[in-house]
Amino acid sequence: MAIVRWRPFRELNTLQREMNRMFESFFRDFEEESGGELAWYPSIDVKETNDKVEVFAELPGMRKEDIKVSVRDNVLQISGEKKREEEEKDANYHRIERVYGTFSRTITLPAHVEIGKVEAYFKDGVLRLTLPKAEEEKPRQIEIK
Amino acid sequence: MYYRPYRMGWGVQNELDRGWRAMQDEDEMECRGTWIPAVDIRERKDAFVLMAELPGMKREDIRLTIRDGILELSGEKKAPQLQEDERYNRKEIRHGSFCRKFLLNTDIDSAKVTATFRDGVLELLLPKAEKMIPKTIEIKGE
Repeated sequence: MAIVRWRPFRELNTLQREMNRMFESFFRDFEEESGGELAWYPSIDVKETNDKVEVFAELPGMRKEDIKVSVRDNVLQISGEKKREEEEKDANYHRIERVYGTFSRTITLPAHVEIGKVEAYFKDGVLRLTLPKAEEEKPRQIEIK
Repeated sequence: MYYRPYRMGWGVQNELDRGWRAMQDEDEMECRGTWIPAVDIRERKDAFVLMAELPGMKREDIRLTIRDGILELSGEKKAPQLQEDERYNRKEIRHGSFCRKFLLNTDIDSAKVTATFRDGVLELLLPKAEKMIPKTIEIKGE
Protein backbone atom coordinates (compact mmCIF):
# COMPACT_ATOMS: atom_id res chain seq x y z
CA MET A 1 0.00 0.00 0.00
CA ALA A 2 1.32 3.39 -0.96
CA ILE A 3 1.65 6.07 1.60
CA VAL A 4 -0.45 9.09 0.64
CA ARG A 5 -0.14 12.44 2.18
CA TRP A 6 -3.15 13.39 4.22
CA ARG A 7 -4.83 16.46 2.84
CA PRO A 8 -7.67 17.45 5.10
CA PHE A 9 -9.04 19.99 2.63
CA ARG A 10 -9.43 17.39 -0.02
CA GLU A 11 -12.03 15.66 2.13
CA LEU A 12 -13.90 18.91 2.43
CA ASN A 13 -13.79 19.22 -1.33
CA THR A 14 -15.29 15.80 -1.71
CA LEU A 15 -18.05 16.71 0.68
CA GLN A 16 -18.66 19.91 -1.23
CA ARG A 17 -18.90 18.00 -4.50
CA GLU A 18 -21.32 15.52 -2.99
CA MET A 19 -23.53 18.30 -1.78
CA ASN A 20 -23.46 20.07 -5.10
CA ARG A 21 -24.49 16.91 -6.82
CA MET A 22 -27.28 16.36 -4.38
CA PHE A 23 -28.63 19.85 -4.98
CA GLU A 24 -28.34 19.58 -8.72
CA SER A 25 -30.17 16.28 -8.94
CA PHE A 26 -32.81 17.56 -6.59
CA PHE A 27 -33.59 20.55 -8.76
CA ARG A 28 -33.31 18.55 -11.97
CA ASP A 29 -35.90 16.06 -10.69
CA PHE A 30 -38.10 18.97 -9.86
CA GLU A 31 -37.94 20.41 -13.35
CA GLU A 32 -38.16 17.17 -15.24
CA GLU A 33 -41.10 15.74 -13.44
CA SER A 34 -43.23 18.80 -13.68
CA GLY A 35 -42.21 20.15 -17.06
CA GLY A 36 -41.28 23.47 -15.53
CA GLU A 37 -44.26 23.72 -13.23
CA LEU A 38 -43.93 23.23 -9.53
CA ALA A 39 -44.41 19.54 -8.79
CA TRP A 40 -46.21 18.33 -5.75
CA TYR A 41 -45.85 15.17 -3.78
CA PRO A 42 -48.72 14.06 -1.60
CA SER A 43 -47.72 12.79 1.84
CA ILE A 44 -48.08 9.05 2.22
CA ASP A 45 -48.19 6.70 5.21
CA VAL A 46 -47.80 2.94 4.88
CA LYS A 47 -48.97 0.77 7.73
CA GLU A 48 -48.47 -2.97 7.94
CA THR A 49 -50.00 -5.78 9.95
CA ASN A 50 -49.47 -9.52 9.68
CA ASP A 51 -52.13 -9.94 7.02
CA LYS A 52 -52.52 -6.59 5.29
CA VAL A 53 -50.90 -3.36 4.18
CA GLU A 54 -52.71 -0.04 4.52
CA VAL A 55 -51.75 3.08 2.58
CA PHE A 56 -52.95 6.61 3.31
CA ALA A 57 -52.35 9.47 0.88
CA GLU A 58 -53.29 13.08 1.52
CA LEU A 59 -55.04 14.51 -1.53
CA PRO A 60 -57.02 17.52 -0.32
CA GLY A 61 -59.33 19.17 -2.80
CA MET A 62 -59.20 16.30 -5.27
CA ARG A 63 -62.11 14.38 -6.68
CA LYS A 64 -62.02 10.61 -6.66
CA GLU A 65 -62.39 10.44 -10.44
CA ASP A 66 -59.14 12.38 -10.82
CA ILE A 67 -57.09 9.83 -8.84
CA LYS A 68 -55.55 6.72 -10.38
CA VAL A 69 -54.25 3.75 -8.39
CA SER A 70 -52.43 0.77 -9.83
CA VAL A 71 -50.58 -2.17 -8.31
CA ARG A 72 -48.09 -4.46 -10.02
CA ASP A 73 -46.13 -7.03 -8.10
CA ASN A 74 -45.37 -5.18 -4.90
CA VAL A 75 -45.20 -1.77 -6.53
CA LEU A 76 -47.97 0.73 -5.95
CA GLN A 77 -48.50 3.80 -8.08
CA ILE A 78 -50.79 6.67 -7.14
CA SER A 79 -51.18 9.45 -9.68
CA GLY A 80 -53.62 12.09 -10.75
CA GLU A 81 -54.30 15.68 -11.37
CA LYS A 82 -55.46 18.34 -8.97
CA LYS A 83 -57.44 20.83 -10.95
CA ARG A 84 -57.60 24.44 -9.95
CA GLU A 85 -61.06 25.74 -9.23
CA GLU A 86 -62.22 28.30 -11.71
CA GLU A 87 -60.22 31.44 -11.12
CA GLU A 88 -62.09 34.59 -10.37
CA LYS A 89 -61.08 37.27 -12.78
CA ASP A 90 -61.61 40.29 -10.57
CA ALA A 91 -60.17 38.64 -7.46
CA ASN A 92 -56.88 39.74 -6.04
CA TYR A 93 -54.74 36.91 -4.71
CA HIS A 94 -53.02 37.67 -1.39
CA ARG A 95 -51.61 34.24 -0.77
CA ILE A 96 -51.16 31.17 -2.95
CA GLU A 97 -49.67 28.20 -1.16
CA ARG A 98 -51.72 25.34 -2.55
CA VAL A 99 -50.14 23.49 -5.44
CA TYR A 100 -52.07 22.20 -8.42
CA GLY A 101 -51.31 20.02 -11.41
CA THR A 102 -50.31 16.43 -11.93
CA PHE A 103 -48.52 14.21 -9.48
CA SER A 104 -47.29 10.66 -9.44
CA ARG A 105 -45.82 8.59 -6.66
CA THR A 106 -44.49 5.08 -6.86
CA ILE A 107 -43.98 3.10 -3.69
CA THR A 108 -42.59 -0.34 -3.02
CA LEU A 109 -44.92 -2.14 -0.68
CA PRO A 110 -43.47 -4.16 2.20
CA ALA A 111 -45.10 -7.34 0.81
CA HIS A 112 -46.79 -8.83 -2.23
CA VAL A 113 -50.53 -8.32 -2.10
CA GLU A 114 -53.69 -9.92 -3.47
CA ILE A 115 -54.22 -7.53 -6.33
CA GLY A 116 -57.83 -8.59 -6.88
CA LYS A 117 -58.74 -7.76 -3.30
CA VAL A 118 -57.32 -4.26 -3.03
CA GLU A 119 -59.85 -1.72 -1.81
CA ALA A 120 -59.68 2.05 -2.20
CA TYR A 121 -61.74 4.62 -0.34
CA PHE A 122 -61.56 8.40 -0.57
CA LYS A 123 -62.85 10.56 2.25
CA ASP A 124 -62.07 14.05 3.59
CA GLY A 125 -59.18 14.45 1.18
CA VAL A 126 -57.46 11.23 2.24
CA LEU A 127 -57.17 8.16 0.02
CA ARG A 128 -57.10 4.94 2.01
CA LEU A 129 -56.02 1.69 0.41
CA THR A 130 -56.40 -1.70 2.03
CA LEU A 131 -54.19 -4.34 0.41
CA PRO A 132 -54.46 -7.87 1.80
CA LYS A 133 -51.13 -9.65 1.76
CA ALA A 134 -50.60 -12.57 -0.58
CA GLU A 135 -51.04 -15.90 1.14
CA GLU A 136 -47.33 -16.81 1.00
CA GLU A 137 -46.37 -13.54 2.71
CA LYS A 138 -48.40 -14.13 5.83
CA PRO A 139 -46.43 -15.38 8.78
CA ARG A 140 -47.25 -18.96 9.60
CA GLN A 141 -47.02 -20.69 12.87
CA ILE A 142 -45.12 -23.91 12.41
CA GLU A 143 -46.18 -26.74 14.56
CA ILE A 144 -43.34 -28.66 16.13
CA LYS A 145 -43.98 -32.34 16.21
CA MET B 1 -62.01 69.21 5.35
CA TYR B 2 -58.38 69.91 6.08
CA TYR B 3 -55.63 69.19 3.70
CA ARG B 4 -53.58 66.42 5.21
CA PRO B 5 -50.54 65.78 3.10
CA TYR B 6 -49.41 62.81 5.20
CA ARG B 7 -52.64 61.05 4.56
CA MET B 8 -51.58 59.46 1.35
CA GLY B 9 -54.65 57.51 0.50
CA TRP B 10 -55.84 54.10 1.46
CA GLY B 11 -53.11 51.90 0.13
CA VAL B 12 -50.14 53.57 1.75
CA GLN B 13 -52.02 54.18 4.96
CA ASN B 14 -52.97 50.56 5.16
CA GLU B 15 -49.45 49.44 4.42
CA LEU B 16 -48.11 51.66 7.17
CA ASP B 17 -50.75 50.49 9.60
CA ARG B 18 -50.00 46.95 8.71
CA GLY B 19 -46.29 47.38 9.14
CA TRP B 20 -46.81 49.11 12.47
CA ARG B 21 -49.22 46.49 13.69
CA ALA B 22 -46.98 43.70 12.54
CA MET B 23 -44.22 45.12 14.72
CA GLN B 24 -46.48 45.79 17.64
CA ASP B 25 -48.22 42.50 17.54
CA GLU B 26 -45.37 40.22 16.70
CA ASP B 27 -46.10 38.23 19.80
CA GLU B 28 -49.75 38.27 19.06
CA MET B 29 -49.14 36.96 15.56
CA GLU B 30 -47.06 34.12 16.82
CA CYS B 31 -48.66 30.77 16.55
CA ARG B 32 -47.24 27.27 16.83
CA GLY B 33 -48.02 23.81 15.58
CA THR B 34 -46.46 20.60 14.40
CA TRP B 35 -47.57 21.11 10.79
CA ILE B 36 -48.54 23.99 8.51
CA PRO B 37 -51.55 23.68 6.23
CA ALA B 38 -51.36 25.33 2.78
CA VAL B 39 -53.64 28.35 2.45
CA ASP B 40 -54.87 30.44 -0.48
CA ILE B 41 -56.46 33.83 0.15
CA ARG B 42 -58.16 35.87 -2.50
CA GLU B 43 -59.94 39.16 -2.18
CA ARG B 44 -63.08 40.10 -4.01
CA LYS B 45 -64.80 43.43 -3.99
CA ASP B 46 -67.18 42.35 -1.25
CA ALA B 47 -65.39 39.52 0.55
CA PHE B 48 -62.25 37.53 1.25
CA VAL B 49 -62.16 33.86 0.39
CA LEU B 50 -59.76 31.66 2.35
CA MET B 51 -59.11 28.06 1.36
CA ALA B 52 -57.10 25.82 3.68
CA GLU B 53 -55.98 22.26 2.99
CA LEU B 54 -56.84 20.17 6.03
CA PRO B 55 -56.93 16.57 4.79
CA GLY B 56 -58.04 13.90 7.22
CA MET B 57 -59.41 16.39 9.70
CA LYS B 58 -62.81 16.38 11.27
CA ARG B 59 -64.99 19.45 11.16
CA GLU B 60 -65.26 19.56 14.94
CA ASP B 61 -61.47 19.64 15.37
CA ILE B 62 -61.09 22.92 13.45
CA ARG B 63 -61.31 26.25 15.31
CA LEU B 64 -61.74 29.68 13.84
CA THR B 65 -61.68 33.02 15.61
CA ILE B 66 -61.63 36.60 14.36
CA ARG B 67 -60.54 39.23 16.84
CA ASP B 68 -59.02 42.68 16.44
CA GLY B 69 -58.50 42.17 12.74
CA ILE B 70 -56.65 38.90 13.22
CA LEU B 71 -58.04 35.68 11.87
CA GLU B 72 -56.82 32.62 13.70
CA LEU B 73 -57.27 29.18 12.25
CA SER B 74 -56.18 26.30 14.41
CA GLY B 75 -56.96 22.73 15.25
CA GLU B 76 -55.67 19.29 15.84
CA LYS B 77 -55.31 16.34 13.54
CA LYS B 78 -55.34 13.41 15.87
CA ALA B 79 -52.76 10.72 15.28
CA PRO B 80 -54.37 7.34 14.67
CA GLN B 81 -53.89 4.87 17.49
CA LEU B 82 -51.73 1.96 16.40
CA GLN B 83 -53.11 -1.49 17.14
CA GLU B 84 -50.83 -4.00 18.74
CA ASP B 85 -49.87 -5.79 15.54
CA GLU B 86 -49.62 -2.62 13.41
CA ARG B 87 -46.39 -0.89 12.45
CA TYR B 88 -45.47 2.00 10.21
CA ASN B 89 -43.41 1.34 7.13
CA ARG B 90 -43.47 4.89 5.90
CA LYS B 91 -44.61 7.93 7.82
CA GLU B 92 -44.87 11.22 5.95
CA ILE B 93 -48.23 12.53 7.15
CA ARG B 94 -47.91 15.00 9.99
CA HIS B 95 -50.33 14.76 12.85
CA GLY B 96 -50.84 17.01 15.82
CA SER B 97 -51.79 20.64 16.16
CA PHE B 98 -51.60 23.45 13.65
CA CYS B 99 -52.18 27.16 14.01
CA ARG B 100 -52.10 30.01 11.53
CA LYS B 101 -52.88 33.69 11.95
CA PHE B 102 -53.67 36.21 9.26
CA LEU B 103 -53.90 39.95 9.56
CA LEU B 104 -57.03 41.29 7.89
CA ASN B 105 -56.61 44.80 6.57
CA THR B 106 -60.35 45.25 6.23
CA ASP B 107 -63.20 44.99 8.71
CA ILE B 108 -65.11 41.75 8.35
CA ASP B 109 -68.79 41.30 9.05
CA SER B 110 -68.13 38.39 11.37
CA ALA B 111 -71.81 37.55 11.75
CA LYS B 112 -71.93 36.67 8.05
CA VAL B 113 -68.84 34.49 7.86
CA THR B 114 -69.59 31.07 6.40
CA ALA B 115 -67.43 27.95 6.37
CA THR B 116 -67.72 24.80 4.31
CA PHE B 117 -65.51 21.75 4.61
CA ARG B 118 -65.32 19.35 1.70
CA ASP B 119 -62.77 16.80 0.53
CA GLY B 120 -60.31 18.00 3.14
CA VAL B 121 -60.48 21.65 2.09
CA LEU B 122 -61.95 24.34 4.34
CA GLU B 123 -63.44 27.27 2.48
CA LEU B 124 -64.16 30.44 4.41
CA LEU B 125 -66.19 33.25 2.98
CA LEU B 126 -65.45 36.43 4.92
CA PRO B 127 -67.77 39.23 3.80
CA LYS B 128 -66.37 42.73 4.24
CA ALA B 129 -68.21 45.08 6.55
CA GLU B 130 -70.68 47.19 4.62
CA LYS B 131 -68.71 50.40 5.17
CA MET B 132 -65.59 48.86 3.59
CA ILE B 133 -67.20 48.00 0.29
CA PRO B 134 -66.49 50.69 -2.32
CA LYS B 135 -69.62 52.08 -3.88
CA THR B 136 -69.86 53.41 -7.36
CA ILE B 137 -71.69 56.67 -7.39
CA GLU B 138 -73.67 57.50 -10.43
CA ILE B 139 -72.99 60.95 -11.74
CA LYS B 140 -76.05 62.65 -12.99
CA GLY B 141 -76.11 65.53 -15.32
CA GLU B 142 -77.45 66.93 -18.48
